[in-house]
Amino acid sequence: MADFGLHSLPADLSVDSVVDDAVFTDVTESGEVYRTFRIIRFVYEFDAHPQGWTHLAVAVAERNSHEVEVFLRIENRVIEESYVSANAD
Amino acid sequence: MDIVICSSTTEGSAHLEKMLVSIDDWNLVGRTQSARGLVDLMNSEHVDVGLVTSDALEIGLSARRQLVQPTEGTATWVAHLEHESVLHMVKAAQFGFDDVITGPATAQSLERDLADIVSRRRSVVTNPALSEVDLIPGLYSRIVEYRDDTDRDLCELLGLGLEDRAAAFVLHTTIQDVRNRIAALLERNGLSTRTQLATLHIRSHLSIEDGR
Repeated sequence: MADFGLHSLPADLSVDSVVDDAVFTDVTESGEVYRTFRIIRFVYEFDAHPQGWTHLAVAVAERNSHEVEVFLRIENRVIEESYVSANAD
Repeated sequence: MDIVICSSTTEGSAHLEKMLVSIDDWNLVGRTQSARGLVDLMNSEHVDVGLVTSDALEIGLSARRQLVQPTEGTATWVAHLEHESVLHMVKAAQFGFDDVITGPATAQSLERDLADIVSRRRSVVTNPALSEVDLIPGLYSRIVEYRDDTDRDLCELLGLGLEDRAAAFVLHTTIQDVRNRIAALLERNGLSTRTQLATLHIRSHLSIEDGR
């Protein structure tokens, strides 16, 4: 059982009601490789997630429009950290 | 074929000069130890091959950046290495040299190697020693393209070793903006990694005097 809060978000929740900029860049390979994504919808909001994530979202890669799920840490409407976890489909 | 030699010392080019003089179809049009000297030679003489010794690769790169097309584009650029060195091969490839030749050689082998390189029968990027290395040939012969002053300042900070979060603090922006800008700069300049961007920015701003 999860020991943090998890709230489903409505499918029609607008992205710009949560963040100022829907475009973010995920950094991998020890800080060397930068890939840009655009959030298309938020799925969950977390409360006291042990790894500090605040949201789970679905995003598309700018380069190939591939859909992914991404964990986000959002503070003051800015995406501070991200982790692209898996294909969304 | 007309050839110029660039070496940071006279001793470095002496052996090469001796061999070239003995090759009938090759004409040594000049030798230089400086980037400025190499630029002047390339602009004043007809040159088929620029032959640069391993200790002068930076000089060669610096000079080529100053040359205006088509002067720069018509010559074949060859690096001469005293010994087999994958490190120098990588440097030559990233600096945009067409190929490398190695060792003391003989006049005959030098003539054969140069002829093969000029006719594009061989090149540094197809050298088996570099097959496992992910290179961007000619990377450091380019100049970084920025969208705006903030991009340029960001690259300067990357070149100074700052992490993304620190760069965001200095630029009074968000880490999201910094990372989006870096991604856009990589895309715009055909680069794969943050390190390539930082080092290309640094090298883009070296003056010809820095190359000596």
